[in-house]
Amino acid sequence: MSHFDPERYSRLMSPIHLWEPRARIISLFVLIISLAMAGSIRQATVGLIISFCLVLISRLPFSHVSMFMKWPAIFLLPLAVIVPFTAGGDKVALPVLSSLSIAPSAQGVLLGILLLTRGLAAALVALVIVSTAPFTVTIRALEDLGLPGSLTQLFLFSYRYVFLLNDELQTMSRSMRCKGFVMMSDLNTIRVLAMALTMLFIRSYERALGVFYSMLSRGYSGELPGIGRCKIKCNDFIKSFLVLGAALGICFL
Amino acid sequence: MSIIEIEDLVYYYPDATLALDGVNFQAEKSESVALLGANGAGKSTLLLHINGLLRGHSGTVKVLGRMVEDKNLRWLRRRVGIVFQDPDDQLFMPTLAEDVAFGPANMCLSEDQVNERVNWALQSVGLVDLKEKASHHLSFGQKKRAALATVLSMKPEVLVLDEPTSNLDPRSKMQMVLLIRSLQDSGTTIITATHDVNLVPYLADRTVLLDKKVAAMGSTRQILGNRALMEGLGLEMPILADVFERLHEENIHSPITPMTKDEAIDVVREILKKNW
Repeated sequence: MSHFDPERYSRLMSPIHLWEPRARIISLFVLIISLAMAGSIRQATVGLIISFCLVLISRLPFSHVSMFMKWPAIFLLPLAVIVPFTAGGDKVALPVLSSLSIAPSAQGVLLGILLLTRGLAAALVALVIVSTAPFTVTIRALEDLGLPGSLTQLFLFSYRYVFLLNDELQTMSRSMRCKGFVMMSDLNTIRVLAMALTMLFIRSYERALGVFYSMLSRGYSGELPGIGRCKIKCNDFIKSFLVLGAALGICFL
Repeated sequence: MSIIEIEDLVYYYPDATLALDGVNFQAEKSESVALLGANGAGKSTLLLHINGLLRGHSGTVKVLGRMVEDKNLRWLRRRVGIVFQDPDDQLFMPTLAEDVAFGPANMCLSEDQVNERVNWALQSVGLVDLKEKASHHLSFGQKKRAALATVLSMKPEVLVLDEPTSNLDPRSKMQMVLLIRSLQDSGTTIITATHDVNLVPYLADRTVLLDKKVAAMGSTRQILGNRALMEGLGLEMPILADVFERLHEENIHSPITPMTKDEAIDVVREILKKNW
């Protein structure tokens, strides 16, 4: 049994979790586009506030949000620091930096803040999309929205077997440690890890063959049957209208 | 007419190793047959031929009177269900319910019929409460039963099981045996490949010993009670049969060689009565 559960918050009962997946994806995607197009700090700030509200409504725990958000923050923060020094405009003299003879520009500072704010706002909305439904539900919804069937199957099966590969990897790593293997930064470690990885690929191939046989034996002919898809209800439309309204609001602010 | 008829089946693995060397085998309707053989004897390979997943280099395989060939594959796979040894091969959909629905949905049944079959199959294996769970969060025993449910939901006329009790705890093994017997009682023909000689008397009426070809075929009692035959193929007799055969060699005779616990208890009672 795998205890690795990246979807542990996808089964909460918040209004966002209960939102029909297709309506949720389209609405939030439009919101991300409007955030990405925000041209002023005012628009971006309002967008960030809306994104925070969505996270609060979704009841995702702070620890989960901070864990996810550290990656966009790590990417965006250096940008926000570098842009003021590289963008043209009115230079602002800072006594601290005078000895280095570099000065940030006022327009650059604003641009840096704008990039940081709208980037974080868009990442928060993306977090809401991926964390409020199981991955497979999101992928099925994307298929309904036009994602090609072959890609859907690829994502679904890859996702299912990530857990198995994770189990295999853990078993192999346990077995290597039992036989005295200690990870070091030498050539032998690289060689052992490369061989372990090769074994994992071979096992993956054997597993794929087994799965393919199993699918064929149950009548698979290239398409996955779709059963029990949700229907969009009135309150899903209301939620979508509210988010689309917010997206339009950001654009015309 | 036999439900399954295999004649002179020869199959080589892609690396040219001979896997099946002229197998001849028949199974009748509502019969439960055990396939026994050492590792590499060709049990799993033979099972894959019954579902048309592998095709022999020579010989014929007929199921319900029809040849296993490309034009019959769709028909065949509705009638022959195969449960693989490793349940993770069989559980590839996001949730258990979707996995169990996969076969019936491919049979183009209506959504209501599919749901009805999913509930029935999951109820049969006692997993109906876990239908929305992801397969990777099930225990091994649950996965084994889930794999069976994925095939039961297709209501096949022939059920082919590859090591259905391997790595199961004793209670789960007996539950599996009871399930197999109840399916047989409802008219399903069951072919089981297994190493578990102690369980064979409980789950099969007839046993086939395989060693790339059929080495022996007969009633389970007749085959499992033949020490020379079993040991000649690298197999062991069931522990009860082994014990009573040895007692027989020491002139402690029993009327029959017991294969199951109940039979052994009766035989012990009989021996005690005679000697007291």
